[in-house]
Amino acid sequence: MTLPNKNGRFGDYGGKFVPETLMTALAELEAAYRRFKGQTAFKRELDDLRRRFAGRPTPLYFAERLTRLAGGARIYLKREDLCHTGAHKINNTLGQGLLAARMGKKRIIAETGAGQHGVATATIAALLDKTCDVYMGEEDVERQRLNLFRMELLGARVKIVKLGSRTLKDAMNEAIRDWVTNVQDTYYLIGSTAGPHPYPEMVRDFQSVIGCETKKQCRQLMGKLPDYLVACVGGGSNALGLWHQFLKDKKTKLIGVEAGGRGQAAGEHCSTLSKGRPGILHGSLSYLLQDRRGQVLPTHSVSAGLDYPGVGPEHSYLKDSGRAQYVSVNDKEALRAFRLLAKTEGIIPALESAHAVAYAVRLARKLDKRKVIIVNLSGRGDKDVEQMFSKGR
Amino acid sequence: MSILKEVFQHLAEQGRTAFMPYITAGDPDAATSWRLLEILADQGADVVELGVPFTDPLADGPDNQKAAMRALRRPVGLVDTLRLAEKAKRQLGLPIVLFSYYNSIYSYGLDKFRNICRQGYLAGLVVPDLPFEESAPLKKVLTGSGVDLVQFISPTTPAGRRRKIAAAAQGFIYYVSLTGVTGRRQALAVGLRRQVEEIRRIAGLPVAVGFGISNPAHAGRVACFADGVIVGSALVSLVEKFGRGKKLYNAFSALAGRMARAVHGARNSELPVSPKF
Repeated sequence: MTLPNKNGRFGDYGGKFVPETLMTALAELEAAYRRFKGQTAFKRELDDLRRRFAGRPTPLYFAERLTRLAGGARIYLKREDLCHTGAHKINNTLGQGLLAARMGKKRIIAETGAGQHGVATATIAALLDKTCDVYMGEEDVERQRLNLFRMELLGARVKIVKLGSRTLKDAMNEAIRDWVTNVQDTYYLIGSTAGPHPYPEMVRDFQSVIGCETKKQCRQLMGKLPDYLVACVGGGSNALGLWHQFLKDKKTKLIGVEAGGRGQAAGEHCSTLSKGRPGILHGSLSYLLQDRRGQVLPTHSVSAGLDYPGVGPEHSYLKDSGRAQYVSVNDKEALRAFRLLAKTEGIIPALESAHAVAYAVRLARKLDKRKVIIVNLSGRGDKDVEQMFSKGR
Repeated sequence: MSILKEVFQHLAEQGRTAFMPYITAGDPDAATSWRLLEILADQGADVVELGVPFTDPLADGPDNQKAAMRALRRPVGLVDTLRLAEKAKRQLGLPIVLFSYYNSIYSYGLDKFRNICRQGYLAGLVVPDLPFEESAPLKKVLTGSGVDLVQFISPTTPAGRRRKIAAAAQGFIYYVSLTGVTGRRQALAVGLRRQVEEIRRIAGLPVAVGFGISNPAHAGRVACFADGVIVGSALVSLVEKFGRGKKLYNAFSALAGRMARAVHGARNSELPVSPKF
């Protein structure tokens, strides 16, 4: 059975925990999604944009020097960093953008952490001639200033969120408040597999092009399925995008890498699945970093895109069912992997993706040379260069 | 009979509309909240909506967000709010409706929450991020407790859905006067009266109107046709302005009093209205 069920549940997780004002909008969105997703014209247009605009399919690349350095399993990189706008986020915004246009919405809003989803949303809004407002936390603006300029160049207005934690969590709160207010003419383009139903399902589906291509490329390149699929998890869309086509291939192990931040203490990390417990945030029931009173905890990660106290509900389900395993990589290891991949392969990864690279190297060392690990290199590191530079070489 | 049913029935017999102020518990501290509750009781509040401070109040505008942030400078949550609620019921006789985001209750544990509800001091629950499709587990917990789970209807709720919500509703219907978050607005929504009358007809329950009612003039106008008038941000913003102490109490008392008189006096200036329950 494919999940979620008709109530938007992955096991116990998911659902629609939103103010009444949004319930009708969610029902309309779901109806539109069901209507268009199988429609030939929609699929053709999306496919065309994926190829000619976003640059798909992306390569599955054998990281030979990295593999030699790790000295174990073979490491392949799924090169989402080569997508137009620099990350996998465009896969989702193309799909939802086309949907918004078919629903007749004039305005698109989004939340963004690292700015990659904001840029991808601003891009599709420019392409489809829609007004676009992107919410971004003040702290994220400071560390990802370049992406703010990119969004503005693309014609979007960036609304800087100064309340609360001033990161992705509060950007999403503000985007939801905007949507509640302007629900009649506004499309809310959520960037991850989080939020109320049908977003977790829809975003996963639009991202699953990653796994579809990967499966085909595996057959061509190695004639077998991979042993491990490793991806970083913030909200979790690049991981689910890679994994979805492999969920039934039980021999392929799925590993999600969360941000371990500066340490184990509350507020120092974003290891939601490793250290959280189920709760409700941003419209769905899922694992959540919270204190014993149910207050959402502050988080820290060197990468703005993983700096989030929640996680998509499907990940909570995959964790409880044991189908996927979740591990943590801290700031230091991620920064080391960031430099390592640049020097060994000539690829500067996004700090988010560097978490997955770090774990893949750790894992490869322990494995036989015949094993295959695929890392979702979900984004490129151009946006992080300034931050790295100011940290000192 | 539930506390809310009794309150609204009593008011209906008098031909009065309920004045239903909102404050956030612990804003800026528990002692101040207690004083504000005493003032509300003095000024004739019929029901008080007491907010549980939460880190991510996504249905709230800036005034109530800031109130939650002020309260959260100390580690507070559901339990602290319940302590205030119980005291307000026992010492002031105020019917208390708890306004809580679902995570505060979920995290506390639904089974433990059942015991709280059986203690009899809560009149109702308002959970802004719990639409009726998701409300079955909480409703089950409340069964037989006398605590009503209040349902929302908003301007975007279509007719068929309104009927479904009305069928599941208890206590009163919370009508959100506009699409948006809580907070002060310049003007009231257009067509409010017609909406309220239609909802009352299909629900057979009192209809309280909230969101955007910003001053005594708004309150008085809505009170002419609604069964309850909910005022939050306008009162809460005084805490931001005056902090704590005498200045706050005086300003709060003055505004609450004007609001209460506007609400309670509204129907006297018109022909008597007999709300149908």
